[in-house]
Amino acid sequence: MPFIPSRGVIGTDLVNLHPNWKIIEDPYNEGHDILLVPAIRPDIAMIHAFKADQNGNVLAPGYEDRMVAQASDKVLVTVEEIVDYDLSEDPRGGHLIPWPFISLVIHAPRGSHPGGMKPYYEADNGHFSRYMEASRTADGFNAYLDEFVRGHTEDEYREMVTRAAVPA
Amino acid sequence: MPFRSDDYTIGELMATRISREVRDDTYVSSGAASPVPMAGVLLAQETHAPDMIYVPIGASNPELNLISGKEVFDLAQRGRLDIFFLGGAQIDGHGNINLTTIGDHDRPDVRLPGAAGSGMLYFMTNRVILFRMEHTSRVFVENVDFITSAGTSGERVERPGGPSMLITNICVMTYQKEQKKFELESVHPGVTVDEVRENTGFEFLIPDEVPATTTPTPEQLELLRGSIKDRVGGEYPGFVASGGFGG
Repeated sequence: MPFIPSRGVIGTDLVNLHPNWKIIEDPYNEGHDILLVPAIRPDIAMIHAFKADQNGNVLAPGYEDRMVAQASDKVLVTVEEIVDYDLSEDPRGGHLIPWPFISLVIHAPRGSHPGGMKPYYEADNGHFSRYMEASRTADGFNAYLDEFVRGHTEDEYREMVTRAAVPA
Repeated sequence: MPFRSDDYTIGELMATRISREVRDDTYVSSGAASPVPMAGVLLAQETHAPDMIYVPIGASNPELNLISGKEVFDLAQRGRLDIFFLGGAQIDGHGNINLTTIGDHDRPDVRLPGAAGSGMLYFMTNRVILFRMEHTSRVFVENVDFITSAGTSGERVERPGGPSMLITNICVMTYQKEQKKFELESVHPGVTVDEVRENTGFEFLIPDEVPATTTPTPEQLELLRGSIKDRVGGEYPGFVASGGFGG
């Protein structure tokens, strides 16, 4: 689909931010205009999902994730768990993205942190607050990166934030 | 603001007023960060609108998460969505809302979460109810810094819907399409018309008589504090836990 028409939006400042959106006369509604939005063609999509199986099928939280995968040249998926059954036969609890749309799967439990991933875990609001406070200044932001990001592996990060979340 | 009552919370008062807008046999939806609208819609469903279908976007409870967010947008574009709820970091007297940036867009003072479909939903939902828990002149401004969605449109825009009312922590206003202005409908008990005027940065119509907002009945409060609170808490645990909904 090269573009999609949408109602609404005309007259908002969103139109001014997107010079590639077009407003034309609606061919089916004489005297009225309609907005056209071109397709987004991402080179790479990154999706965090619930599960992946051995074939590369993915169970994602949102219906829209499959459309994102279809639209993108490369699709990198991180998942909470790898399962040993065929997700295409049992896609309960999520939305299936079939393996032909997937380029790469990485096992990354707690990969949404500090965001939540229901039903696996809730958002870590304490960590969000801490990040928001730290990121008020460049120094605070740098200190945050030193503590949680720079020089740390994914496993170390997970260990740190899991430990911190327990007492709360 | 001097609002205070031992009998009900501000969230309960707003939810009760919202519930009156909900009609039976319609589709109603709401988006993120809308616990008070959710309570109001569920109250209507428990009372006068049992066959209303409530399809909040992104709910985690399977009982509420009936269709995808994309399909809610499709419903709206087909003209089948009766009510949606929008807030705004800024809302102006023309009904324009700002969910994008405060200050100069290219060097903003605050970057907000963004439009999230409001640019279309505001036009295509039959009635949009605007709500804010903070009624101050920094929210209710003469002109928003960025028009994320527009309150009114010209003749060449197909627009069946738009603002129908504004519900805040101090008052209720209705949107008068012909005059393109908000009109004060009621002030919450304990609030004066002057206080509304002082805390509103835009001009609005004030009728000669401004009644107090109707307060929740004991039956409504019982429903709100029972299963409705549990269901709202399931979607917005922080809001309910912090007493935002009261009780």
